Amino acid sequence: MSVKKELIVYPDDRINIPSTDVRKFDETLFEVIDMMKEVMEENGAEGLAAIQTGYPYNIVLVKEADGSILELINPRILKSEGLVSKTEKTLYYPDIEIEIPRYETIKLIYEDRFGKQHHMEASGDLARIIQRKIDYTFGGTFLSKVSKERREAVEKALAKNGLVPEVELCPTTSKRVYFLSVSDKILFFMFLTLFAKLFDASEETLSTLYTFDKIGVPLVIVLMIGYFVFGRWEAKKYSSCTSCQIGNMLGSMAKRIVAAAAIGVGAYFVLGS
Amino acid sequence: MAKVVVLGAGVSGHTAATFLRDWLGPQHEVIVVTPNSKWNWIPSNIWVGVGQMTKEDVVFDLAPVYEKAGIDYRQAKAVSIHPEGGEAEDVPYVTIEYTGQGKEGEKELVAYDYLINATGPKLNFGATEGLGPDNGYTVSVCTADHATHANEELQKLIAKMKSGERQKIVIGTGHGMCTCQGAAFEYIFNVDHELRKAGVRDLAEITWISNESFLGDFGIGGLHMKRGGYAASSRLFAESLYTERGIPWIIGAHVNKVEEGKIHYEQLDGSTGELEFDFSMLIPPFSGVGLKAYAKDGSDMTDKLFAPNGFLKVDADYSGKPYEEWKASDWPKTYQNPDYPNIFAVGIAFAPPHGISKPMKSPNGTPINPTPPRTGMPSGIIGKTVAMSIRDMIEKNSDKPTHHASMAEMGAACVASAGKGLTDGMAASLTVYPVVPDFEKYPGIGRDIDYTFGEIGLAGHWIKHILHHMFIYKAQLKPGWTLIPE
Repeated sequence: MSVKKELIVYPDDRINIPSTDVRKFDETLFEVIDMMKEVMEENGAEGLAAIQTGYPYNIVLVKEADGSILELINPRILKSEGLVSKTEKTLYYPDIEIEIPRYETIKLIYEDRFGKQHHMEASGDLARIIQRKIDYTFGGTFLSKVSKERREAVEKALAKNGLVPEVELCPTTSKRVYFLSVSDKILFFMFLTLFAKLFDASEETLSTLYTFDKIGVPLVIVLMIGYFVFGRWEAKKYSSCTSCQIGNMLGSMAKRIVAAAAIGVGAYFVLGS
Repeated sequence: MAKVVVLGAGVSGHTAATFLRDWLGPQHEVIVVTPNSKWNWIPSNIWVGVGQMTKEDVVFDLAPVYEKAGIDYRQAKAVSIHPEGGEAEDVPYVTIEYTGQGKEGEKELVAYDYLINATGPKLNFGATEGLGPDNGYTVSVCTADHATHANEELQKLIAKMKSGERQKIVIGTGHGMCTCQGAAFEYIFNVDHELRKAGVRDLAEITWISNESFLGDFGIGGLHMKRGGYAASSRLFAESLYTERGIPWIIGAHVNKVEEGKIHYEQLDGSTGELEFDFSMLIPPFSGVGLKAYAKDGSDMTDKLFAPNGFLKVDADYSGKPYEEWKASDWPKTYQNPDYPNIFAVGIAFAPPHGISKPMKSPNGTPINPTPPRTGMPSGIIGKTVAMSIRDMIEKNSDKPTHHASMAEMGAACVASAGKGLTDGMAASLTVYPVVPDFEKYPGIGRDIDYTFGEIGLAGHWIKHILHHMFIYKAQLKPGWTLIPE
């Protein structure tokens, strides 16, 4: 067999890779399925998604009541009914049991190993396993089905046992904030210049302050562009960093650009006239 | 002197025409032929459809803009293309029929040296019996007028609910071969938001129906979303979002008939079903606008110039290869017609070589899968790219297009709002790279995962507001418009 046999267990961020649909129904597919069956047998598993063995393909195997293995290639759940919560275990989190809501009955379409399309109905434990395995093919574990608080509690408990997912570490400091810091300082001083006339400043001083504002506005815009570009580069390292999200960065940019524009307009009327 | 004729003034046609006018000297002519008198920023039609904007907020008159730019504007629909000229004409030309400018119904021949087909799609409501606002029972948000009508119907519905009547709402796609699931997704959450604001959400049963084989496919095979610090698949995200909002879903569905108050559909497993509705917005499938093409001797050669779906053939691989052999290189790069090098097609008007999503059929043989999206950002980029090539072919005498913009090398961004507020609501901001998966370059899902993701948050509303004003500003050719990217 040329395919590598492996079982992915927590923490391994490959589990979050979305699986792609199988396009070629050939020997390689058969080998991956055979390997998955071996992994299932060795671990006493009731079901397995290909990504749990490191192969990001849309393949799910589940054990039926008679012990035979059902091969589901490119499965899609079309219909579902009756949400029921029940305690689940999964090979990816070997020591975790958690209550997960899933549908009691599902109807799905799938292809067999030769690419022929079928549809079936499943209920009870079979439906539950199929749903859990299909979630894996979309890059989600059973923790994707619980609240953020519950998920964090589970990850905290796992961390106590020395299991910490590397990719989930979000930086508490970031170099891109220097761009914000410099912009804020420029904006602060630009804001102060608006009050210069209250202090009986000379024409020359007012002119100098106005020049400072005229340079300040484009400088803040340039700094914000730099902040965004640098921030996106920096964010690539942290998949779960909320402050690295584009929306947050655009919000930070927008606030400062609007402030610079407002002060610029104010300076035009107060100092420029 | 060269004469460039652009058929259509949507995102791609307007982009191509305005840049060409800006780049080419006054000795060259740029003619725009479009049946519409107004330009429409289509993404904001969603807000018109729920009464948060008016038609006037999302359209502007084309005539003054083109007059200022020096573009010869003809408010007319294109009828036929004659790439070899005709019996009495030695030069290629198009025939047009006026729809405005006081010449309604008049026909005219317009000769060209270069032709850009940017007609966009025909909203093919006729593909499903009973679909659409004109001859059917559903509303649409595809045009500003449709969206205005959709809002009128929605307000009547809200009034009924305020008087205590329960109402059924169905939103989604109206055929198995639709695209633009994102627009329907955005509309359903805007409607949900408006009903909550009106205090009548508990009286509405809202249902989603679409041709996606999984919720969150969005016509591009899905993507990863970030929310609250965690990344999750768009399917898990969408399922949780629909569940939170109390919206059940029907997927893998081909709507085959709409009657008054009733939708009939078939699903990928071959089963059929019915859905009752009091208000329904279903996106129609797209097809070519029905342009004909004629050879010099007057014989019909529409099949040579156009694909069977009515879109114009360009430099793509139309060999009809099976799904497992689809490649990124099948997609066009220059958008030049292989038989007539002076004809290009941009935006939705070019014929895609095949789909992006996995092709699927029900056991009855009904195809049910999203067709490739070519709207918005890709349309603008393609329009500008073709304009650059034509500019170089005219001014530098290039014998072939000089610029490429394959959708397999291009990213796209999309914002789906759920409300319009600057301080409340939330939106999904999505980026995809590349639009067409490249399975050779990116083994696995065929896309760069770093650049294919979505984010959930209020900032999406701000982005949508910014895009609305920025692109209308750009399209009106106001100072600095060329600096605003597509």
